[in-house]
Amino acid sequence: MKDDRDRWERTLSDLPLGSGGFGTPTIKKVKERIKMLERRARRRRRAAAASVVALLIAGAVVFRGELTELFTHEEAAKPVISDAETTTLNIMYWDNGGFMSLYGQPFIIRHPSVRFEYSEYPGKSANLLNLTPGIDTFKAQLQKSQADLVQVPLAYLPELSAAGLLKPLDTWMKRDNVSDDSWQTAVKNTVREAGGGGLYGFAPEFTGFALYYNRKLFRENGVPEPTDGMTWAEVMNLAARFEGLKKNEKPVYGVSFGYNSAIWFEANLIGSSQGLRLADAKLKEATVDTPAWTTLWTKLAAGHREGWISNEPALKWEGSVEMKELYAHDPFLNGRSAMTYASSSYLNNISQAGSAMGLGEQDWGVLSPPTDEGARGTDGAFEVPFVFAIPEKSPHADAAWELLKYIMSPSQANRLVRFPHGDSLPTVAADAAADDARSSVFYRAAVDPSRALDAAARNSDPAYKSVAGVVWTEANDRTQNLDDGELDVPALLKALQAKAEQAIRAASAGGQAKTEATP
Amino acid sequence: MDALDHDYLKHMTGGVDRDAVLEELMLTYGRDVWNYAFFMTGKRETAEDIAQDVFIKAYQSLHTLRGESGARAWLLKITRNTALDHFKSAWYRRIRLPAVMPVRESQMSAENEWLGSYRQREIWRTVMELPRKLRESLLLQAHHGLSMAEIAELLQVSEGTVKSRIHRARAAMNKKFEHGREDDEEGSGRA
Repeated sequence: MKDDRDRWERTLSDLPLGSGGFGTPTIKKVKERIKMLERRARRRRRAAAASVVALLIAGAVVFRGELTELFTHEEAAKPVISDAETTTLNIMYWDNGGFMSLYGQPFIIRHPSVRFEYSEYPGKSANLLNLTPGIDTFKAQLQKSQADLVQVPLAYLPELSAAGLLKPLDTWMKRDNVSDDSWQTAVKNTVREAGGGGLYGFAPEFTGFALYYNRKLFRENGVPEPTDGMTWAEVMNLAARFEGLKKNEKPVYGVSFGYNSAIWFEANLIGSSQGLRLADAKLKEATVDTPAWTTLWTKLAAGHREGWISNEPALKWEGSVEMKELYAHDPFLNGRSAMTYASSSYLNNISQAGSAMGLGEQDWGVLSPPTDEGARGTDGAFEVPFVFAIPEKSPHADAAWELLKYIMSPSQANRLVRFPHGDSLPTVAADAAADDARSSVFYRAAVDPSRALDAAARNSDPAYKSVAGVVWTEANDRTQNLDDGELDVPALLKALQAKAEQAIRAASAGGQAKTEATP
Repeated sequence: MDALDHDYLKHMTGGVDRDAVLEELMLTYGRDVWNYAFFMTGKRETAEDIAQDVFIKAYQSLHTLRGESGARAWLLKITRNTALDHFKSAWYRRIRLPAVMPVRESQMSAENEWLGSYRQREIWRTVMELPRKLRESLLLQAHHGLSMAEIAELLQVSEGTVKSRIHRARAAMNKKFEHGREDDEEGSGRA
C-alpha cells in the first residue's frame, strides 16, 4: 500500500505535465501582446504617461517605506541577503557581461537587492579557451582582489585550496542540507580530488566525449555495431571494415572527425584521450617519438591511405561560413561515416542538421568513448574547465554562498540547457537530459580523477602549452599538402621530436622550465 | 537608505532592463505558472491564455515585486487571481456547463499522449478529478513544493484549513489507488 502511495506522489512531484506547456511560443506571444499594448497605450495617453509613472514610482517608494517599518522587527534574524539593504557581490570571472547573462540576471530575479561589481580576471588575454595565466599570476591577483566569488581553473584548485586561500564548502553544504547527489559523479570526484578530499568549489559545467555511430550503415553493410567501452584499437579495426564502400557514388568511411579534420588534429585528439604527452612531467625531455605515438600515427596514416578514415577535402574558409556549410562537410551528418568521435556538443549538431542531411533520428546511437585497454569504459578526454570558489577573505562570504547555491541549482542547469554557450554540459543534469537516453551517456561517464587533474595541470602550464603549439604547428605544416599514402611516420615523428626538444630548450632558457615534478 | 534602491525600478535604470527581467521571469517560472493554471482549470488552452495574461500583468506591475522568495509566490498569486477571474467570467460559465458532456475521442487521445504513460495518466486524471480546492492544495504541495505556510498565504486561508484539504485530497488519492491495485490484481487473476 505504501508503495502505491509513494508512486502517485512521486508522479505528481517529479514529472511535470509534459513539455507541451509553457515554452518559446508562449514567451513570444507574451512579448507580442506587450508590444501591442504598449503601442496602444502610447497613442492614447502619451501625455499622461510620464505623470502616471511618476505617481507609480512615488507610490512604490511610499508603500515600500511603510512596509519596511511594518515588517522590520529589531529582534528578527537578519537574512543573509536582505530585501531591505543592498548587497554588493564582487565577482572575478573572465567575462563580466557573460557572467551577468549566465548567472547574475537569474540571481537578481531571486534577490533584487543584490548588485554585482567585478574584479579583473588575471592575465591580459583571458578568454574561454585560455583561463590560465600561470598559477603565480593567478594567486597574486586573487590575494589582491576583494572578490566574493572567483572563477578558478581546475588546475589551480589544488594549490589554492592547500594554501588556505579558498573557503571549504563542506560545512556549509551540511548546514544548509545541500546535496551533491545530482552532480555528475566524475565532476564531483575530480573536484574533490583537486581539493585533497575536501570540497573547495563547484564546477557548473563539464565536457565529455563519446563515440557516435550510424546504426543504419552498420546494418546495411553487415558489420557488427560498436559496443560500450571499446579500445581505440578495436574502434579502428571496426572502422577498417568499411574500406572501399560507397553510397550514392560517394565514399563511405568507417570513422570521421567532424567537418574539417586533418591527420594531425586526429592524432592530437586521440592522443589526448589516451593521456599521451609531448614532453615529460618535468618538461626536460620530449616524448613525441615514442612507441605509443608511433602506433597511433601509423594507424591513422593507414586509415587515410586505405580510405576508411574520412579524406574529405578541407573546407575553404572564405569570409563568413554558415553552420549549414560546415554541416554539409561532415560525413557523419551526411550519413556517410559509420562512427565519429566528438564531444557532447555534437548532440546539438545532430539534432540541428542530422535529419535534414541524411542521418535519421533513429539511425544513430552514442556510446562511451574509446580509450586504452587498461582504462576501458572511461573518458580520457573528460574535462572540467573551472570551478566557482569563495575566497577565504571574501567580505560577503555568506551572500556569495547563496549565489553559489543558486549556480548549483537544477533551475540554473535547465537555464544553461536552454541557452547553450559552448561545448559543455551542466554538472547538475537538466530535466531535458534526464529524459534523454543519448545525453545520459555523458552523465554516467567514468573518469579517473587523477588523470583528469594531470591533464588539466599540463594544459594550463604555459611552458607545456608553448611546446604543444610548436609541435602541432609543425605537424600541420608537414602533413597538410601530402597526397594519400605519402606519409612517412618515422620521419615525421623524428622531425616533431626535434622541434619539441628545441621548444623545451627555448622554454628553459626563458625560465619557464619546471624545477619540480608536476603532480 | 532610500527604499527605491531595493526594487526593480532601480534595476531598470541600473543595467537590468524591464524586458530582461520579464524574460528571466518567464524562463524561470513559466512552467510553474502554466502548470498551476492548468491545475486550476484542467484545460490546456485556458492554461495557455492565463499564463500569457499572468506575465503581461507581471510586466505591468514589476515595481510591486519584492525580493527573495517573492518572485515565484508573487507570480503564483497573480496566476490564482487570474484563474479565479476566469472562473467568474460569463464566457467560462457558458462553456463550462457543456463540459460534462463526453469528450471527443480525438481530444482524449491528444491529451493522453501528452500526459505520458498509462499509469501517469491515471494518476493525473484522478488528481484532476478531485474537487478544485483539494486538488489545488495538494498540487501546490506535491508539485510546486510550497510549504503549508506558503500555501495558506497564497490561498488566504489558515494553515489548519490547508492541512485539512491536503489530508482529504491524499485520502481520496490513496483510496483510489488502493482500489485501483485491487482491481488490477483481480483483473490479472481473471486473465
